[in-house]
Amino acid sequence: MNKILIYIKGLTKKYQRNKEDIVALDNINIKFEIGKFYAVMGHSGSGKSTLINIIGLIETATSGEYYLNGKNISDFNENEKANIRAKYFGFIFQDYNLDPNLKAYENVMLPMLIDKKVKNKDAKEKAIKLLVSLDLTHRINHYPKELSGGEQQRVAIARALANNPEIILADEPTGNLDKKNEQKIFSDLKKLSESGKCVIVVSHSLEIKEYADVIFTLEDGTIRW
Amino acid sequence: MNFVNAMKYATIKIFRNHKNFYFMLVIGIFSLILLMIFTYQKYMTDIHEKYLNTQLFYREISVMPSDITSDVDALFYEPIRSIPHVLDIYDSRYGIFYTESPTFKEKIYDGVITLKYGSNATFPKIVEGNIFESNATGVAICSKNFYPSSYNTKDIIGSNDIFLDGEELIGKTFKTESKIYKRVDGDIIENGKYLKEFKIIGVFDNTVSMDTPNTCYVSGGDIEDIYKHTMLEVNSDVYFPYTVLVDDKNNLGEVGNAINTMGYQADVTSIIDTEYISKLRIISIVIIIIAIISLLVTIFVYLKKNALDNSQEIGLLKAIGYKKWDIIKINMAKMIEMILIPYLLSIFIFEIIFFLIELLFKNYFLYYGYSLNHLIDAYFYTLEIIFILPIIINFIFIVKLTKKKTIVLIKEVI
Repeated sequence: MNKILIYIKGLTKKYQRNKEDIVALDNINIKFEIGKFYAVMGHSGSGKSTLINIIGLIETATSGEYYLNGKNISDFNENEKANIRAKYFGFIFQDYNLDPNLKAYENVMLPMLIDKKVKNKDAKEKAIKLLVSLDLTHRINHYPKELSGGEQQRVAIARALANNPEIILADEPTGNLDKKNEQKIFSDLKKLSESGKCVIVVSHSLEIKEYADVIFTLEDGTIRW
Repeated sequence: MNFVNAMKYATIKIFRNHKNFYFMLVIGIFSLILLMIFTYQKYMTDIHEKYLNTQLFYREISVMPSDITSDVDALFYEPIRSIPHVLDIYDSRYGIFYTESPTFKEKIYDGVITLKYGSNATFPKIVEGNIFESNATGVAICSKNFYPSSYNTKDIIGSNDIFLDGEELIGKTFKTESKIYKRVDGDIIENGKYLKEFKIIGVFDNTVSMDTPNTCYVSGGDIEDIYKHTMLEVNSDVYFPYTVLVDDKNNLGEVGNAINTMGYQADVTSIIDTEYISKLRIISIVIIIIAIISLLVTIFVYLKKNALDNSQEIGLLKAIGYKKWDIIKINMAKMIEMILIPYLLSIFIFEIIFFLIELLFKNYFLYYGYSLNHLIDAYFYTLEIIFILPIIINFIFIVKLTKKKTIVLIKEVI
């Protein structure tokens, strides 16, 4: 058994809509280990994105406990959560979420510059190396609008890897891509998990089953294995 | 993010988003307008103040002796001179006299000289040379920027050198030629010319005293001499008052009362017209208010149009681990740059305009004794308005955005 990075216990998320309580996640208990590729599947509205957002600390649970590397971070404040996001997590979004005014390498540099001690020159070098490793050598100086969907997503992956995080979170990373690019992205994510990272991917695509080590389905806010 | 990287990031974000150019253009235009308004208003106010402080007219009282048919004597002059705050008293006929100088009548000069009554009470500050005693004769203190001519638009509105260097004229003599007028059978006719010679012993800066550059201060005795030889017959049936010069315009009332008490008729003839300055102030305030309101509208429109971009950027930065105050710092750096860059450009353009005005109208300014100095206040007032308002509004806006949940900001993107 690999080291457990994330342990979620009794996680519940409720929303208020028209004065009615909507339960998005209901008493979720789950563990995530390093070096594994997790696929979170389920139909629309099942709570997949909510779960991954809570894992990534960009959304708050209504109740439950969240352990990261053995430490209970459930009650961390915003600054503490920001520190954790910067150190432990790399995000990949469905719509890539690249800054349109920054070139590819500048987008990748962005997470690195959180650290005040990091020099611009060093960050640039590292960003270029990451892009080269993802077969984007010829796109280093291009703006997002000059890239194809697949290339943009690979830039997003490079950005997610910028601070060498232990956990990669991807919410429908191939939602806007064709099959060929989808396979490429899943393949890249698989390599990341094989390199020791914990990769958690939300996806509708059945293709993911070819790559994932662990697959679970969310149905009405609860997990089905 | 450290300060250097924040500034680099802010600069990149500013110049790669074309929407920012419109905002910066508007800021630049506002800055230029405000610089001009503040400079013009301060300049005109300063000129007005300077005029009030330099022109003897605003410190003068006209006095008629009780017995206007007789020559005045020591019983008139000395008691009035001894009133506190009185600097001098002289026959108003000898206050100022216009004459011609054949010495200077050449090329572009018509030789017209303004002779003014010179005494310790009326001398402007000398920049070179000496002053003279009140009983001196044949000496003059002239303008450093000497233009021995009446006003000539073609010369004044131009940038050619038209002024003689008064300092080089020290020690030189010049003649004056005044027309003699006589009454013949009820008509006034010209009857020759009266010549007089003066030696220039000192020069003053006419831009400080606001005298016309053809002015020379000579003794009252010399003006009296010229007047008696040229105009006496013409004005033989006219009674002229005496001019009492007071040390400060605020003391006019006190001195006037004292003179009236002595049995003489004292009139404070100067009226300080502040209406123009008041109107100028009101117009300036109105324009400034319009500029401020327009600036506020511009800021709100800019922030609204960029709300999605801002939300997008803030959501992304939060998601990848930037803290709230880092995000605020980056956005404030952007806004500061977007204001300072056009502000500095507007100063540059303003300086060019300033230089061109100085160049094209330098003779005009020298003629009227205006000095076109940089008014540093204008730069600070302008910066305060175009800087403080956008910064405060942007700060409130960004803090509000950063308080939103990361997922809410992210969802606004997707």
